[in-house]
Amino acid sequence: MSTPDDAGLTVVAAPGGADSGPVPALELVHVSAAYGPYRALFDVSFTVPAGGIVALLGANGAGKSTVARVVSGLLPATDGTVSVGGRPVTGAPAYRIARAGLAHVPEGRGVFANLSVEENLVLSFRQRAGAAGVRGALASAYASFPVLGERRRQRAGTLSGGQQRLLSLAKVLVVPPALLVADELSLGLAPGVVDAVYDGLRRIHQAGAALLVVEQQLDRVLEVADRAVVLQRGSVAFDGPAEDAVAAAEQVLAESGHEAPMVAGWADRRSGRVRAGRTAGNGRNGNGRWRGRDRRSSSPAQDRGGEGEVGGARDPGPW
Amino acid sequence: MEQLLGFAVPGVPYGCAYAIFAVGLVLTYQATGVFNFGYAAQAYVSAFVFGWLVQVHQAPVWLAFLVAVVALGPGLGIAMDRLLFRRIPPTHGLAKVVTGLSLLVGIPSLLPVVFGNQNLVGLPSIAFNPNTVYFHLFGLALAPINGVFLSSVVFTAAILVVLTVLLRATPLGLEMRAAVESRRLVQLEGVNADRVVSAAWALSGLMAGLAGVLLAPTQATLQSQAFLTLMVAAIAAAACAVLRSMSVAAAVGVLIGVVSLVAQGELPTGSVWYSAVLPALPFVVLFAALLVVPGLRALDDSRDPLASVDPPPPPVAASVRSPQLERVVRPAWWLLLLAFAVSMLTWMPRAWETVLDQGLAYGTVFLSITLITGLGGQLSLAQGTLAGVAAFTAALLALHVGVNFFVGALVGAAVAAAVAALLAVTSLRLRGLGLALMTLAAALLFDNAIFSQPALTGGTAGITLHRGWLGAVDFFDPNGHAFFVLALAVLAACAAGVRLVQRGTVGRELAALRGSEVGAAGIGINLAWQRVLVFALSGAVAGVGGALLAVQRASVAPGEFNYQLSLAMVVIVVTTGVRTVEGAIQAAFGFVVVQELLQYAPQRFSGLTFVLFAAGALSYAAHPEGIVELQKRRWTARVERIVLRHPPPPGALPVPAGFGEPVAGEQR
Amino acid sequence: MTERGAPTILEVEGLAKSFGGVTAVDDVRFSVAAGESVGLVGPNGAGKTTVFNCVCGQLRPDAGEVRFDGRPLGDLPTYRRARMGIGRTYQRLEVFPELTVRDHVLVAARAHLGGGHLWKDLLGRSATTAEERRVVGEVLGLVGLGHVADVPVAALGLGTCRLVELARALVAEPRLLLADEPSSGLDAHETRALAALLHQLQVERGMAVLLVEHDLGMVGAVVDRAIVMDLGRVVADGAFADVMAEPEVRQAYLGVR
Repeated sequence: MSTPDDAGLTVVAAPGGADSGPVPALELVHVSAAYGPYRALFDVSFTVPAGGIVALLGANGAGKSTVARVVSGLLPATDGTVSVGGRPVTGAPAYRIARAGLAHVPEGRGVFANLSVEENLVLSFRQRAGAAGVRGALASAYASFPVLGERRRQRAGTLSGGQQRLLSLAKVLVVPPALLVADELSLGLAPGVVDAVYDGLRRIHQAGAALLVVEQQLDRVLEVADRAVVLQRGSVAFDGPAEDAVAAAEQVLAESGHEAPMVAGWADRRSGRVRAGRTAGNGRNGNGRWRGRDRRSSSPAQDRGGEGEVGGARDPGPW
Repeated sequence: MEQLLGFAVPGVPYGCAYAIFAVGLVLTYQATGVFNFGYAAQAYVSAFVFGWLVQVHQAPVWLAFLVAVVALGPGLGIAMDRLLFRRIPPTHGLAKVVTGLSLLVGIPSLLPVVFGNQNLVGLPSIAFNPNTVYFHLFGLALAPINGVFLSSVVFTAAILVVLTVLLRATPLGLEMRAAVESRRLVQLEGVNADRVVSAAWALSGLMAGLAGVLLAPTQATLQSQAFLTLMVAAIAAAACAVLRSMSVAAAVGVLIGVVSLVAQGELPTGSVWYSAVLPALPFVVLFAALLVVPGLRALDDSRDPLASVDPPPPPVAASVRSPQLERVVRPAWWLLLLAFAVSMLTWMPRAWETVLDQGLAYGTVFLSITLITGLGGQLSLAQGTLAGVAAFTAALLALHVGVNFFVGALVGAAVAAAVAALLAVTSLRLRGLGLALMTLAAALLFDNAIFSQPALTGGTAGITLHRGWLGAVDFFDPNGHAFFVLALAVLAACAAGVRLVQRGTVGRELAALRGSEVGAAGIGINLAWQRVLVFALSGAVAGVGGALLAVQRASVAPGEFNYQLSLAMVVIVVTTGVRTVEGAIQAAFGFVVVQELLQYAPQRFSGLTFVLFAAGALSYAAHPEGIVELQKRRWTARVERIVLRHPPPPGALPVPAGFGEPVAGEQR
Repeated sequence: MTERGAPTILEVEGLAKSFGGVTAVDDVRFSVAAGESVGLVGPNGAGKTTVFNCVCGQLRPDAGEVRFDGRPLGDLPTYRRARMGIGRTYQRLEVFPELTVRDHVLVAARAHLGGGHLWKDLLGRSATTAEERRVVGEVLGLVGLGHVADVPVAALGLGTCRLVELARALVAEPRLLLADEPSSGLDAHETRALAALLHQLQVERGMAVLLVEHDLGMVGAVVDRAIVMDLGRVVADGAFADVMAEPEVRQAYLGVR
């Protein structure tokens, strides 16, 4: 996997890229949204200031991806207004919003699997950098991410998951947009690549882009973000400076009966608590086997007095 | 050598006709992601309107060309996109096939309704005079190059070059190919996907219109059949190109044309090769391509990474009726059945009894579609063929061996089951579109190589059934009710069987398979066995139904069981409901009753049955359970609201927190 | 657990697989003891999911052998391997949208216990047995899906669907569970609960677990041993803490020198 060196990522000027001023890059006012009959967002309001970085946090299912989709026009808002760079875009088709300078990197593999790596990049650069800028943008993409250059003729679908993710990020990191909405930025990326991606984010930020970043790794995103918005069950639970976000997120999770999120790095996560629990478990059930039709030894359901047999009324599981 | 050339040169325009269709199918697939079965219908519409303008209204050829090809072709393409294909989720492969089939069945039947019955003979060519010999190839007398040759070769080559350049080397082509994969993702790049897709459909429509007008002069009388035949043969060429390369498709198309004409000249007439293999050549190629080419196994695989934005499908369990209502509804059904049986045995007019008898027989055949499509989740375009296999087996056994027809019918059903199982075994690696094409190839093989043998099936007239073959009871007595009782019993038995399978282990395992083949294999379900099982069952039911149809008609003829019947049957059953037993039975009765009612209408409306059902099947994408099932569900809910004091709230499912995050489309 | 001398349940030897010239897995060898839990970690594109697919039969390896319980698996299809006791959850969900949660587990239970035959269906003898009801209820209780048992999974969220897959695999009482990134898409709390459940199952049922996971915190909470892969090869194999301390691993995985 390639790591861009310090001088590597050349930034190509984007049309409208230097669009900074007092107007916020993104503004949501009382936005609601739904998937068919299922409502996903309720009265969400927040802004991303011009040239600012906002982290969008929340538990799984809180509506982070939905916010990203509503902003980019993939999902119509059922209520409220969305403005990008001061221009209202509510109800506008996604391609209009994209042309207004918004780049949305969707969660997962945002690439065209049947097109080659180069065709993927060309498609994107032609829109963002203009027909004349394609050549330069390609060169700088291959310089920053050599792995993409090596595989330029290969179908994007044959890349590994992480490489595909890299390809979809390369599109927006080379030609900085006015506003970048990145969904689950580092999900599925190995830590080394995550560093490279964050370097890229800082660069386009320096080039004037405003960022809205959905991220599960709180520690990583809060390093770069100025502000944070925490969602809870489709509503804004916290909107404030990034420094206070961890406390707020913990508060939110605690309120909904959850524990605090794990913020620490991987080395500290092998905490004694889990470890100790396991040792105790081994001691108690070291020989406990549950195999085939023979269920004489203790099974979890039997431990709980057979609640599992009912399977309906109560929820005895760890959830 | 000279003689060989003499056969090969006329084969070129013949092959170009395949090539033009094959290129059109590949273009449509590459640019829109739809394997468009309606392509032949589009071509026919343009040819028809062209001929109608030129012959009936004496319009100049260039004007007719402008209207029929340049305006109507793209217009029809855009209309199909806007009204139909755009509404189908990209992952719903089955719906695309069904919609295409509906257009194929419906549009040609609609034309006489709009324009009246027209007999268009000897249409003009748009370029080069067909009968003028321009020069001789290599100076050989046996290789004259006439206008037909020139126009087909020149146009095929031009179309090929223009389209390849457009798709591979222009920004629009790149955007089209990207939009096929994910309209949403291409929007995020700032591309107006709707416009790109419309452009692709317009282009495809233009090509279809051009194909129609180019090929019209080669037909003595303009008929939709000829276009259909050309297209199904061209599918072979498109398949050899894995629906990807237009030049390969064109080359294979020309090759098939040349090889068949050369073989026609070289093979001894009267041999099996000449009478059976030659007419089936394109279908042998298609069959072989589907068996061998690995790319065809993954036709439906490309997934939109952003599919999870779509609202989830409506909950399936919604059809559960409340127990109170069930207590009323169930006896009501039995009463209705009793009333039907009593009416048929007493006051029903003869003509209508015959019609409804036919409905019972069709109902049995249609149940086989419930099994294979509703339960198995796969589309089979060979169900009519399987019914024919059983009917012919029974008739031949009675004719040559003297076996009782009913015993023969059981043997026939077993043979049909075996044929279906064999088909399933050979196509184990295919799914969705690939499997549908495989079954279509099988149906066409039977039509062209086996059913077409006069020695075997008695030619177009078929085999007439004799009273004595059926035992002591006279099932052909126009005044008796023997056939009605028989058909009712057979249909009831088959319906009960399908229902039991549906609710049993096999039904559940098939439901799992429909959801995820990978997941089903991962919990120990044997995909291959389930596939073979459902094919065999469906073959047996289709066979029983085929024999029943034969008894009802007192004859078995190849034309009654050809592939067009299979195509129409799928469209009809999908309209009313492919998931339920009732759906198949309602489809059968709806079909025969509508057809009978149209007897009273002017002749130009006779094709309206297919138009109606095709129109119904177009709703498949939105309501895969069928329109009848949908209405029934709605009315049940309404009645429940009125009758019951505490009705269940609509959509009574608990909505868990966290819904709305990606579920099925989640990928990385 | 290996030190207790438990028999080997899974042996992978010299496994190689490439896709269109791109080598995904090259000469991978490792083994898992019965009742042991092992983490399979590494950066993206390291070939972890390819190894999984070769073990459960979705892919045919170009070279090498997989042995389960001492028996070479060869060309056995996926469903046969599942019946031998290899359970699996998927990185990309593979649920059956039309079925309810209960039906998911039921259909898996019947595939495992046997007894599903066409003739039984045709004679109307395929009602759920008391034994099946008991087993299904138990598993639903275990993973905590009792409250949504009768909801079609099409209406459930990602996290719940992952549990449905787990329940579906568990009802067949697998001797080896292949869990492919079970925590992706779950929040920290759900991840921790899932880790606890996997650990509990391993301890109480003696079920071997092979876990592919990016969340190293979760891996550490579940596994005894870790196998680190990079660029299609095994670069380290040993106790989790020791393996993570190796410089080669840190470089491959974290890009830290």
